[in-house]
Amino acid sequence: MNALLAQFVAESRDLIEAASKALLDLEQNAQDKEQIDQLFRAVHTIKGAAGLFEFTPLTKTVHAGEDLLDTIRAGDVPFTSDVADVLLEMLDRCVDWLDQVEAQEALNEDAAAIGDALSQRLRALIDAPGIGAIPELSDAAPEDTALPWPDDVPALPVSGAVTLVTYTPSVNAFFSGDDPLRTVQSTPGLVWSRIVSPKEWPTSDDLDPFLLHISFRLVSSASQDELDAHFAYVSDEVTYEAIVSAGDAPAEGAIDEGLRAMAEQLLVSQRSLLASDQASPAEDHCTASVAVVLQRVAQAVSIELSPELDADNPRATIDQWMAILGAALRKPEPKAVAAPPAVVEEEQADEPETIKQTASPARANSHLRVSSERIDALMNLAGELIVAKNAMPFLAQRAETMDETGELVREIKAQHNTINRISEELQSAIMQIRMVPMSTILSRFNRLVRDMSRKLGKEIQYVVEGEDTEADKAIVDELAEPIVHLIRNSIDHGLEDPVTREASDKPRVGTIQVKAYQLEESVVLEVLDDGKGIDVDGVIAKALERGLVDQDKVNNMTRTDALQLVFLPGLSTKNEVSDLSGRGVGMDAVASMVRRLGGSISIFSEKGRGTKITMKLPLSMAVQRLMMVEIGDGLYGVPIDRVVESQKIKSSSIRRHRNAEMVVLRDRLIPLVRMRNLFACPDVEDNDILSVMVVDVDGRESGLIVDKFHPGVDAIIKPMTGVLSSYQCYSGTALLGDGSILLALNLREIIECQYH
Amino acid sequence: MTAHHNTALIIDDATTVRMYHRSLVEQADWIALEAENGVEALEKALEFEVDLILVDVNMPVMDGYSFVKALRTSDTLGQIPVVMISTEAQLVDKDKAFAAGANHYLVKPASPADITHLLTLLTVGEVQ
Amino acid sequence: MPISLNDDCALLEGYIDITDVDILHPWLQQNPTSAVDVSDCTGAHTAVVQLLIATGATVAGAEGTEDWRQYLTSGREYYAKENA
Repeated sequence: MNALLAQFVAESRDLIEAASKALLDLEQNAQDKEQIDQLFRAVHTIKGAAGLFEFTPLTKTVHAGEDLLDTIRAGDVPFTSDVADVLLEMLDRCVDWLDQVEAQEALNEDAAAIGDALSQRLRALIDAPGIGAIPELSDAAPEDTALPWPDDVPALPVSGAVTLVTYTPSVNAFFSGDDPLRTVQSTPGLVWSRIVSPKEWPTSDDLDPFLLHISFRLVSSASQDELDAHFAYVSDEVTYEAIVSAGDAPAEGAIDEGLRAMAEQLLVSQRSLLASDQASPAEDHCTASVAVVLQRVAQAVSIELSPELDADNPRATIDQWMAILGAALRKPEPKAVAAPPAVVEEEQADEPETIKQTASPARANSHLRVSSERIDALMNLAGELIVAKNAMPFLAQRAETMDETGELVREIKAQHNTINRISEELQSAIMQIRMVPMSTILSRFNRLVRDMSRKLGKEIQYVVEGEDTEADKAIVDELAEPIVHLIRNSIDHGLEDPVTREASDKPRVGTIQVKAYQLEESVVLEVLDDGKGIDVDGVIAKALERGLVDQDKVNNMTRTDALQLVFLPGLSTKNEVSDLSGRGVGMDAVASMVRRLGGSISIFSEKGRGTKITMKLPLSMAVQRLMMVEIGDGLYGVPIDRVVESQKIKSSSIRRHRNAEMVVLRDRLIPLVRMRNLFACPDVEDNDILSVMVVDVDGRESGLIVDKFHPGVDAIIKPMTGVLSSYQCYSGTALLGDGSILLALNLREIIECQYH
Repeated sequence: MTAHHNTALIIDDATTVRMYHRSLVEQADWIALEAENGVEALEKALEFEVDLILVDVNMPVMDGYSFVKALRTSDTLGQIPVVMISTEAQLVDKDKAFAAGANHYLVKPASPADITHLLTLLTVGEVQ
Repeated sequence: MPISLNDDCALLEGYIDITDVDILHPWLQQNPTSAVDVSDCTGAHTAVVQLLIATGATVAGAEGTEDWRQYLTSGREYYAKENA
């Protein structure tokens, strides 16, 4: 059973239960308006959903029930126990039918008869005559299949399906003031019409000229809705047939007929909306929405609209646009008048067939909607598989001591390779499912930029680059918040107002650019603005004033390093707090959000030119590759994407500056961190050769002096919980293949510790 | 120039109907957001950038007419195109929809072709 | 008076209403072979058009027109030029 049907059955059962309860409550208190509403709504909702499927008896019956309830609700019919009995019977019947639908996706053969009888009984309870004659839903839906061109209609300059109307006014039409020919001639979309004379005319002497003897046949290109509206007063004298015109295939570049028809309907609707009576603010917005609709329709059918929308008098522009669209959407003239009907018939017969094929919902099956929980479960299992796989090298090691021939070891290693490959492929396949383009969040910010810039009187364009870059859904979703803050900061503090910009030779309109791209196993997001930039000296002064750094440290900082101080908690570069970026949501909050996701953030700014903030995040939050290092007697993990290089250095090459130790590696001065000191391990006797792992944290390189390097390992890093979570120098724990636990180092914290 | 991700907000109290509309919306490569009533819909519309609203008429808490009326008073959301989709097939219902401020009216169940065409026509094009 | 009648010709001018049938019908009964000139006729009620068709009146000035007068030609067909 398809998901939609399953949903329908489940939802309808709930609704029936709610309806039954309301019905029973109503029997206690027939005046309870709320219960009547609830009952009506439940039945109405079932009817609405049932219409999506071909269970006519069910739809018909609940429709009758809905109509009955509507009259009860309006107070036209009293709620009696007889009424309750029939309604309860209807609900019971629906339960039966839903069981059948669930079991066999269809109703039993007797359903039609049962449904008819039940609908009649329900309708019989509706007192007011005529209400029972409301057309059935299934009748209301116009037939899509078009008939071949009839013999008595000449070939006409139309394409696609049109409507053949047969209008047979009553003999006494003139006495009720009708002028049928006028009605015919004013038919919307009229292409052709003919007066059909009676088989035989009375002689001129016997003729009563005040009785109507003629009838009409006409062809219209208007939509069924328009025709219904036009012939509303004579609806019982009119019949409609959809006919397919002299089978010319749609011309090159021509608009698909269904699309064209819908576009025309939309146009009619926009006229209705404009004609409606609206209160003051709503009226402008309705007009604006019409402009939006027209612009989109024009673009969809590749029609150029001119002139530009006149903001002072949008109605005038809209009227012009309507005329352009109306003319362009009229059925295209065929290149030649179609062939005579006899020849054409065969081609016509083919046409509806092709239409049906293209409209078939084949694509419905090519996408699966799966809840993210299920994918998460799959991801976790794949992660565990990878971790379990890590046990195999340990197994091989142990086997080596027992296995003399080495055959078992080789076998284990070979299997390890295979399982390794499969688990990696499995992981990446699941990752692919979770990957979503950045555009899912980036496109949301258009409005933010527009609204904010308007509020602040700035002119700003928002440019997105690389919105197709994909990353794990969890990462993408989490990124929305930091990006919002960065954009707000740029608009609020970065970009100048148009006057200031022009005064400093910049374009009036400021630009905020968000760039996304993939860099190895990371996704990088840059938020750039061409605003006034950040005053580094101001940042330093503020940081000193607040005691966030001391003068010594500042002296050792490059200007780029100093700029990173903006990410420190408690530092804001603008004195007054704007209501837009708000109190307390500073750069430090953004930085901590990014870091929580396992990412890094850095800032680059040039005074007067603009600011660039770069965020680098893992592509996924799942399995990470860690380098293992030994410090003291413990093993620790370092995310491999942070590792720049691993080097052996001579202790004599270490330079000391005040309390800091540094080493020059390939022309870079890299500060060193003695990890043993940090972890309060006893010093070993001075080794001449030291192992240094150079890591990159927020764009700054540091060297960690460790005891020993170990091979890399794949692991899922789980956040620290319980007591451990207070140790900030660890970012999480990972379970290794041999069951031991590896502590992942929080490099940021470690380097911060060293600084302070 | 940047491609815009078209987003439709589907408002209906029936999960089945939302699911049906969502499947059509997603087949057309739009993003689908859902709401069960007018109030929830207004919240969603304020939170996300919505390009098109498909709204049912008869819903609890806040019905379709009240929703569109409320939407049209908003400076930021007021110009979003709204299509009402309801089982009521009478002409008066259509008039009521336009009076509330809807841009179009479809009779439920709307055919897949109708919805697909509607989405094609109301796609937001390239954003400058 | 939109209808001018003489023995060999009926001249229809402007819009001919249903009430004019009372004049036109007797004339057509008396002059079945005379022509009805619609060259200057801008419109007519269904009853008038029906009368002309039913009595098989000889209509002049309808051939070659692009408006409602096409109904008065042999095909009784009207091709809309442009659907406004």
